[in-house]
Amino acid sequence: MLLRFLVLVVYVAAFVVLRTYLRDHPPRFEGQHVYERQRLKHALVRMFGLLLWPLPGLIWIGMMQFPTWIVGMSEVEARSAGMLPLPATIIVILSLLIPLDIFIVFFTVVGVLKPYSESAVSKLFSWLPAIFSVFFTLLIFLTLPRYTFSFWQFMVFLAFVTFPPILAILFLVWVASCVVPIAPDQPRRLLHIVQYFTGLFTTFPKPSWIVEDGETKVRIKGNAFYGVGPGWLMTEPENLVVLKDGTKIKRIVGPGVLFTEPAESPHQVIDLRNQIRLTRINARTQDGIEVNLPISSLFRVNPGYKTITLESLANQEPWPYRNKRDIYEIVFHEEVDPTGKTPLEAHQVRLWDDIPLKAAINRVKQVIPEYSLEQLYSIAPGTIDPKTGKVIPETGDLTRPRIAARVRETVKATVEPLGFQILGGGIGNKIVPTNPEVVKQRVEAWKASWISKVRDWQTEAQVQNLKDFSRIRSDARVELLSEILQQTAMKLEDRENAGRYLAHHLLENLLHLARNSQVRELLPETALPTLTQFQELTKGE
Amino acid sequence: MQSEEYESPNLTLLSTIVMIAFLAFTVALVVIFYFFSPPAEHAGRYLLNLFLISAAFGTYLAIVIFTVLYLLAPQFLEQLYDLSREDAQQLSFYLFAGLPDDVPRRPLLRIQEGQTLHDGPLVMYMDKVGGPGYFSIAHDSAVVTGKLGKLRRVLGPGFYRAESFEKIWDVIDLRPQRRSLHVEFMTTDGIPAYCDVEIRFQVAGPDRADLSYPHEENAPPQPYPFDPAVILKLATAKYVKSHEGAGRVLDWRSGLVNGLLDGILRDTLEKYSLDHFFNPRYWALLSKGAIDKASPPPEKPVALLEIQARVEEAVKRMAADRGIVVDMVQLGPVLPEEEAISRQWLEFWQAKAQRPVTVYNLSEDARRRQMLEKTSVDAQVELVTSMLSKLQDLDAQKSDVPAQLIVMSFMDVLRTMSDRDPAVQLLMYQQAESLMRIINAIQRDKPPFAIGASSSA
Repeated sequence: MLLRFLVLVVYVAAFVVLRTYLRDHPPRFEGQHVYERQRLKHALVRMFGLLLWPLPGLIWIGMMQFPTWIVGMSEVEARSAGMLPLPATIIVILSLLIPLDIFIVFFTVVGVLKPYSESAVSKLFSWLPAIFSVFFTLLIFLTLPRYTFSFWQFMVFLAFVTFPPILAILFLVWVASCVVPIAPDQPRRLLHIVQYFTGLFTTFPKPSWIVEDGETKVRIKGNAFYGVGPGWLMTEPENLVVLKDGTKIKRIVGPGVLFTEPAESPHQVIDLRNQIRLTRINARTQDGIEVNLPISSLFRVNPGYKTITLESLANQEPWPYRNKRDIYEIVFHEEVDPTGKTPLEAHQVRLWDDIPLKAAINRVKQVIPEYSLEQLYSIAPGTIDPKTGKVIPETGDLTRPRIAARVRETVKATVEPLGFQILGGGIGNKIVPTNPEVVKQRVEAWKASWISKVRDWQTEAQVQNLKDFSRIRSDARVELLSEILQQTAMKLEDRENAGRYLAHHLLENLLHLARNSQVRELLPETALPTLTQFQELTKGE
Repeated sequence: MQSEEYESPNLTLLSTIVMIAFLAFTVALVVIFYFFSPPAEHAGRYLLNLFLISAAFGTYLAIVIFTVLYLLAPQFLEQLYDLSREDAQQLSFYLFAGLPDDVPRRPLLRIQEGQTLHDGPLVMYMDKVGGPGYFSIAHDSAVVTGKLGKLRRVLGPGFYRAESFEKIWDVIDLRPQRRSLHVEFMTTDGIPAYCDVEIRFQVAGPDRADLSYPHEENAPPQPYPFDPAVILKLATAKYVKSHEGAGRVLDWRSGLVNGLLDGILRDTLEKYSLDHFFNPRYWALLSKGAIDKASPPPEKPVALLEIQARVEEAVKRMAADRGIVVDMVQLGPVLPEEEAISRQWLEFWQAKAQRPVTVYNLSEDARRRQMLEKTSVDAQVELVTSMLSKLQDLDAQKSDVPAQLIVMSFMDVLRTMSDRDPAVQLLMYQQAESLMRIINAIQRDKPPFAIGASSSA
């Protein structure tokens, strides 16, 4: 009893130790081919080694008593009569072999021991370990008639060694179906799930890929050709993946999650979302000025007639695209263009999403030489403002959008047959002459126009001054004459000498004016004496 | 493990199967080994041995369950999703057994302020794998979820149970957004210029009336009402700009600001010449508040408000098609680019433009005074010179000059000046009456007289 207790304790302790080891040494694909026997060993140890299944069986040693109540004699008598009790060796071997048989059969079913080919011989060959193991167990069973034991006790023992491994496999299938993310409509779903799950623990699985940010990332490394089980691929809702199988493009999958077939691996990811590509190019105008201009192209893979709506979400419809032919057309239209690449990269294709932009660039380079630099910035046609003789800006169309529209038409005609849908694009930003002197020249012209404007304004001011001057001069004359006349009128009360007085007074006024220092400077030297002389003549008696 | 604490029946079912198997085995063991074949001696020890076998069987079953649920499945998930060991174990357990029903709810992924909070304490595996778990979506956000490579559902603010492998695919910020944009363009005269613009917008809601407050104390039930169809539209209308790098995807906000607004504004502004936007003298005067009626008024630049209204109208119309409500678009001043026309030059130019105006204004009064003075002198000189010339002519003809001749000469000078100058003519009309009265009086009452001769006569 103590030994049995010790076995139980050792079993639990060994489980704890082995669990720690296996937990800290997870299965990893090391990049090398793992042969079938190694795969089987790894899978067996890593998946079911922790069960330590031979150990609990040891508890049964000595438990199956000689069935004296059946044979009707004591054990000594029975031994002397040639009847043997079930030996401990048989119990140990059966405790080891029966679970092992179950596990090996399981591994064979899930493809750990994969046949080299589809031939019957090859398949039979892959079953050999299981056949051999089961055969050996059966041989043990064939020896049992030699021994005398209670059948029902043996059945309980068999249940002891058989049920937990079977439970382990059933539970594993159950759990795997919960943890492996896969769509419910996959063919042979459960078998593939278990095969995929098991593959990891053989250390030689097929790879698992996840498409993230438009790129495929390997999540579980493996061998796509010879690895165990299927591969696995999950895309984002907006991605398609083109799969290849070594020598050929095989199929287009997604969006969604699926198991890959032998030798399949991602070739390219196609993003079904709207795309925008921008670049700047140089082109030469009609008047030979090189300009740098931005080119944009807005496009997507043709979605067909379907759209993403709440209804499509409810129906779990994938991101729409018209058909797979479009995708093949797009992928096979990718070009090898070594321009701007290093010699190592020169053989690589430019990706599918470069195609519309490339078409736009070529067209822009054709269209720009049809316009002069002036025309590129101009607006036409439009309503002419009668005041200024210029086009009213709001009524005209820019040249830039008109060029963009021409480019778009050509791009549409070029790439839409491939399966693209053009959403927009053209020249999306300012067109700048590459030579800064051109801009400088234009700025100088603008500055000069301003200098001219200010001069005009100054001339206007001078003209105004002259007008003011004339007005003021006129005012002064008016003031002067008015004063003279008023004074004269006031003093002409004495009509008798009015004529003389008037002449005298007028001359007196003139003398008064002439004596003003400012006026005197401008008068001839004889002016004052002459006036004085005349005044003397008009004096009365 | 209490089966009633988890939502999925898997754990209950498994526990029941294992328990039944264990009990069946134990019963069979005792019945067969104790009752059908009773021990010959030491019955107590025999029963203990049976107990040990039963315990070993139970341990064996427990190890089976533990191995599959806590070692194999976590190791698989750890590698498939690049998770930590603890997160992988939790995920494995929750995938099989479902989420715990007791509080606190976990794992929990919070979505607020238009983004997912990946580093929350209860997130665990949810940012990488998705459910099972919970989404807590704040009042300011709405999300679109995806599951196994397909879009799953649109969720507004609230607390939701995430299905297995259901992830947050996109988050839409429902709050009003304000963005500034620097739009560069070329004027029709080929000068690079720029304009800074601001825009305020938000996701269109189904009915803005929801925002009415029935009682002053009550907050609205949904401060940012939204339409799930609009959320889905905005989330799926992104533009992918490149294969890699930050900002490789333009979301609905970037699409509106950098795509729509930028394009419309540039297409509008490029129809004008720089002078339409930028008149140095006008701005110089305006900034000093010195627009003087006395000086020639500068030409006013094109009204930016008119352009703003047109751009705003166009942006609003096109944004509405996308499911976005634009509240306002505000344009800043349009200025030439620093590289093309430096700020120093502009300041110099403004100063230059201002200087004559200031000088003009300051000197205007003094000049006016001087002019008045000078003009007055000129007028006097002109009068005296003209009169002198007439008198000298008289003097040259005869030695005795009658006073009337002097007066007549004076009148002649006045007439000549009035003929030359309309203003004087006007005055002459005003003064004509009194002057004519004087002259008539002289001519009527007294015969013509000679100044020198009459006196002597």
